[in-house]
Amino acid sequence: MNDLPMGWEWSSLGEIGKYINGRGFKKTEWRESGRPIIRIQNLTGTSDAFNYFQGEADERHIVRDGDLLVSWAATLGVFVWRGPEAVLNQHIFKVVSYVDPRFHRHLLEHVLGDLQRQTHGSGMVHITKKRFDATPIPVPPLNEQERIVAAIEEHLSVLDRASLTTSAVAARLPRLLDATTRRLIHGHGPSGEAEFSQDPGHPLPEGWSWKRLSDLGEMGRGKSKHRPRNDPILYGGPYPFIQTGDVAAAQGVLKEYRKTYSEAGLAQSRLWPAGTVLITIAANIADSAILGLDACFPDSVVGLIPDVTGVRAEWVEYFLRVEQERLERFAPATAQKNINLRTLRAVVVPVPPLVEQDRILDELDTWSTTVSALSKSLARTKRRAAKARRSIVASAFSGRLVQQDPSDEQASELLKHIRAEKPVKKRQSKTKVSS
Amino acid sequence: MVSDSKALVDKLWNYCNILRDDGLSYGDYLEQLTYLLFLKMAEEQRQLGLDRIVPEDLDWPSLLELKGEALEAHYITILNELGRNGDMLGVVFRKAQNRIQDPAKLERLIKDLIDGQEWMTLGADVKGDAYEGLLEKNAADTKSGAGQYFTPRALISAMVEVMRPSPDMRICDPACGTGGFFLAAYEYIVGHHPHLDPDQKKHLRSGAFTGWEIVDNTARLCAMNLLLHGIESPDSDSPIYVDDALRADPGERFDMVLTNPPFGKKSSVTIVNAEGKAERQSMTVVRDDFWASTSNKQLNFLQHVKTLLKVEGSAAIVVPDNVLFEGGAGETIRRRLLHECDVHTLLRLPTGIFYAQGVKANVLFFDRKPGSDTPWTKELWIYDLRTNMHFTLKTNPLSRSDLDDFVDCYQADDRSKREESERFKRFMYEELVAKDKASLDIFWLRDESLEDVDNLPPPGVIAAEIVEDLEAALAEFSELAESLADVGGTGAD
Repeated sequence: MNDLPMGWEWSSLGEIGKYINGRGFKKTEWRESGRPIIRIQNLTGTSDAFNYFQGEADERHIVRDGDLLVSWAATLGVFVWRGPEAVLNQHIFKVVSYVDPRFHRHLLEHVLGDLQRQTHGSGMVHITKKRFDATPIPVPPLNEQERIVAAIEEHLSVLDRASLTTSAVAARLPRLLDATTRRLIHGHGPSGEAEFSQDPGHPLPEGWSWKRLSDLGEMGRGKSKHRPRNDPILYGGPYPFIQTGDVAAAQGVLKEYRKTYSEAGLAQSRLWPAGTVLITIAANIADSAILGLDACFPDSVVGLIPDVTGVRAEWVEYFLRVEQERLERFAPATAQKNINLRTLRAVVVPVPPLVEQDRILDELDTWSTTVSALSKSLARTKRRAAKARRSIVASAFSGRLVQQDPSDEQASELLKHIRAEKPVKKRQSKTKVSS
Repeated sequence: MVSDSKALVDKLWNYCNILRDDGLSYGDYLEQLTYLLFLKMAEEQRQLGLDRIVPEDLDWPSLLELKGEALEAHYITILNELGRNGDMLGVVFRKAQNRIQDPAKLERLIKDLIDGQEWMTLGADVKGDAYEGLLEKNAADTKSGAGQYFTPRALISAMVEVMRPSPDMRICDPACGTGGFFLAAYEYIVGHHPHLDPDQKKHLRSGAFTGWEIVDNTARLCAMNLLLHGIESPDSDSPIYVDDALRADPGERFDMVLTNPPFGKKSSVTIVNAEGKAERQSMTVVRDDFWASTSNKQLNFLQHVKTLLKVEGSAAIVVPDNVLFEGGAGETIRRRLLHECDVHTLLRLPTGIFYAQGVKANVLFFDRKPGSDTPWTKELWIYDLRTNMHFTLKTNPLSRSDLDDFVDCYQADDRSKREESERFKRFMYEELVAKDKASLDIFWLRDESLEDVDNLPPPGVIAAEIVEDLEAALAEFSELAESLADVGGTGAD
């Protein structure tokens, strides 16, 4: 055991509080009204739906607003019950605290966090009452407990807010990229200097024109004539075989695939060249990617081999990406959604001169690189914030977050009181946590 | 002879640009202008037959007789001598220094620019507005950094409008800066009470306003600002204390407090310890009249404002978001405030309206009440002027009309007539205290730029919001880093 700060004492979870397990309610006892039965999923937020209990409940199993609860199976967690009088299901402890209840709450969060990490990877976490009670904990003097709670809450509230703000940025970044791409592809770029001329949809800058997707190059559905499609003789050869899922997973250029065609597979299909724009028309509608290698694909994917004198594959692919939602709306809402080739061929694309395409594609590249770098640093920030949180709490429980005051009554006195009074069991009212 | 305030600002401002070539900042220039204008006005007052304020050998005419290095030396003597008074003279000249390096330019400033104008005969609004115009320009000058604490005048005006100061009140700003709240309150009172009796007039000109300002330079700008607007006279006792307002309860109580305390949260000082190492000490303010001891300056200002109020006195205070959500001392203070005062209105301000970056702020309106066992706050009305609002200092600044709807909703005549609207919602006391940490950081409007799928805002708007969020997050993380700087040990893993 480490050295403790002045005035502190080692104790155990079992000594500073009593942990009363909930009752095992049977499904046959569930009702539509009455006292809500608190189950773990109600605490963790995975479910808002309560079952209710109408029978007489033992006082031990009754939970009131402000009571401190600990879930100890599957999910380890500390919760403050906010709600009407309820009854407690098993696998959750109601905490009767013999110390500052808010201190108790933070301490439990800290200790359970450690237990959680120790048992990490072992599947279902399940902590026995015996092990729980025996968990060693440091106890500071009562006055210092108050100061610790105030300091923890002050720091964590600032930290939480900062993390939340960081998450808000993370949520905005993809939208920034979408909005920028959309504007650039549709010709009302940030410069705004282009002269617009009137055309279908919206005006385009001088020198741009609307082109049907089918006018941009050779367009057609993938081929897989042989039936049944899953005939093993078709697979396991040297030719990449792309499916709709591969297109969805690719970000931009598609190089990864899960299946290959054999010679027999190729014979009943077609090998499309690298640089072909892929558009899914079934299952996932209008996902797009650019083939990064020569490959075959089935008729749930449409290929467009762009005429390189008029349009870059990347240009078409960016357009499809920003318009995916609109294209999806063309698909009838049947069980298996799909969009037909004729509809797709008629879609009009704004096309600037090649030089302009290259310039804009460069700009988009810069944007997406910047956004992705920022996303990564935000992710790092979030991980650091999570660490900072644990570190703040750990500092608190090792006596480094607030200063010791020699005039405080020592923790040993507090523990003496607890040991003396514990059998009296009259501390139920102290479970209230004010927060 | 210049008679219009805009022309006067331009004239004064143009001269500043000449001095900038010598490395003089806007703020420095404004300060020198303050000294010289004061001397000139004191002289004009003497010529009108009023008492002499400035000793003969240190007055305006004594400057006009000299040139070159002799002029410079004499100017420095005047600055050194005059700062030793307790009246407005003392506030204007406290720790004054000459910053004009070129005596020829000093001479031109004195003889051409200032001596050529009769200042006392200018209407209070002309010279006052001219000076206020310079202050605002100074605040907008990012290099000077002076705008950090400058409250948008549109906001001040709306706050005063709903607070409705009246002629007999004593009004206080414990962080008065250049006196923006005083001037707005003065204008409101004069504008709404055309028939003031002589006592009221006298009170309004001297005694109605009391302020604290910790920075010498800012305090002198404030004193001059009041003077030029016809509030106080050069020889009156200064109503501006150059001091840290939080140091102690001044004992005085006021009918109304209007204030925007400085942003930047923690109070701390760096001292050198016995081993010769720099050590930071947080300045936790411990005062008997405070509900909680904390080093959070914003929370302390809030407690201080409560102390300054008479029973039934009212306050409007600009507070950053952390005052609304912070745990620990923040929670204690919010609970006490809700219980002991009638906290009736919260205005959530948009971002991008302050010169300090990353600031998300609010205006909290409350009335002090006599002791009671039951909480005084019954309902808090929150007006959200932040969600889906986009202001910037330069291209889309907050204007007074942006606050019209808030002013209407506020129902200053009779707050019981308030009605809920999209941006204005009522929250009952029980709801507030039941929230985690009694947080008042409450939102209900959908953030369109984040959620509306069909209507993607322009990239510029999204990018600006990202910048705001990052600045806010940075400010919050910095805050945390600073307050944890002294916590040693290795921490978790």
